[in-house]
Amino acid sequence: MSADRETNHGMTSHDMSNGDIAFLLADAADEVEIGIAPYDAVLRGGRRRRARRWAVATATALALVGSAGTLAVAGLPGGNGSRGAQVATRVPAPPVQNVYPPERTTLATGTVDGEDWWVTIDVWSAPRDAGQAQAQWEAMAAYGSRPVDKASDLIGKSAYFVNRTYGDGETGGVSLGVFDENTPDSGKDLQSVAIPLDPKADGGPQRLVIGQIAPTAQQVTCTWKNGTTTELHKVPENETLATDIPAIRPAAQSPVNWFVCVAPEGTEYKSAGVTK
Amino acid sequence: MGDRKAARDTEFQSFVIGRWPRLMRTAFLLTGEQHAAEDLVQSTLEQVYVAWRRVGSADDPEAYVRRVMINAHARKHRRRLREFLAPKDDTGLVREVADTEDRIARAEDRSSLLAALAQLPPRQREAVVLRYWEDLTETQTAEAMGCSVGAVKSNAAKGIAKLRAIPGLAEMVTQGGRA
Repeated sequence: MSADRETNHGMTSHDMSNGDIAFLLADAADEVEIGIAPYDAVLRGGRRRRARRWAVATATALALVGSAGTLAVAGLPGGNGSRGAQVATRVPAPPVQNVYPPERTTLATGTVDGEDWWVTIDVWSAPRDAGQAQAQWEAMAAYGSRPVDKASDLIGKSAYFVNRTYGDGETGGVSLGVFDENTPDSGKDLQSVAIPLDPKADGGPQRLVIGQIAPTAQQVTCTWKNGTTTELHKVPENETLATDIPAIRPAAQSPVNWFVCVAPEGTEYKSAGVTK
Repeated sequence: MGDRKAARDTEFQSFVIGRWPRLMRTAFLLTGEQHAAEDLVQSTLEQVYVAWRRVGSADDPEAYVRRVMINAHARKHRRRLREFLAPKDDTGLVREVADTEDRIARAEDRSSLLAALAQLPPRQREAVVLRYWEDLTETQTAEAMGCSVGAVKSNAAKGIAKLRAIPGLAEMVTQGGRA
């Protein structure tokens, strides 16, 4: 977005054959009224967001203190609910109430180049009302990102956060969203993301593919750039399969099934599709 | 400490004022509507402000801003866009040959292109706008969209193919717009 591109309109570099489209886009973009940058409004909004973030951090810390206290008492001989309740009364009641913790499912595990990696998904059940949605919204701050713009958008929708951990590195978010009308619900619907296995390998080969598919899908085929493929099959109901075996799996509270496949060394993601 | 904060604020202000026009144009292509574009850019910059200490000193603050904007767009305009921009009459995207008056024709072209963009699924729209308006490489686009380069190629190719398949647009394209 450098200023000098203001006059280039995208026709300089990657794909001259689509320069005509770039021209039309530039023409259409000129339609917008630029106006004056509302710096003061941005500043106010930014400060509000920052203040909210601090408030959430404080509330979460309080909730954790309250929770740890209760657990400690419950673990003591003779500990009971009333003592737990006493602990809770000593801590100012946090605004985070009626939040059901998310259900976590491990979707896949493996080892590459001596480094362990794993992918998990957290699914939050749908809040029923504004109060629950607000509480869930605040609790989700721990992820550093939220799947919707405001708490009320969570009402009636369950949300998911897919996380990937590699080696000793930090766990990082890969994908997040709410289950809504765009969620795969039939046939060959599929949503996937392909990323490097090692989060530090920015721009590295996209070897890790994570996707969601309709519960009816029986087989997914990941096609790699070298022409080879990996087929994943649905884990039969009431059976469990080790997470280091690539497969189509359910996740707790998730209305869709999930798959994770890894490209062989030396190649990377080309496509993925439901094949049965 | 106070001086540093003041310096950061000044830096952020310059960033906002300097990038506002470009961000507005990109947001307009993504959202197809003036007020939605303003909302998207403002909300993006508010988020950037919160992280400015880190973002401002990064090598490429633009990349962060793009990522924030695309995330916000993906969340907010997933479904509503198509409804909002869908042609209100029954002519759809197939329209008669444009008027002879160049100005009117240009306005119609823009409108057609925006309507055509609105028909694209959000990811295809994002890929087309980032690749062919923002002039990003496939790798940069993938970073902004939080997906693979392969997904960018696929989304951009499908988006372009759909745009080219629209009769009105194909005509505009062969004329190189109506400059």
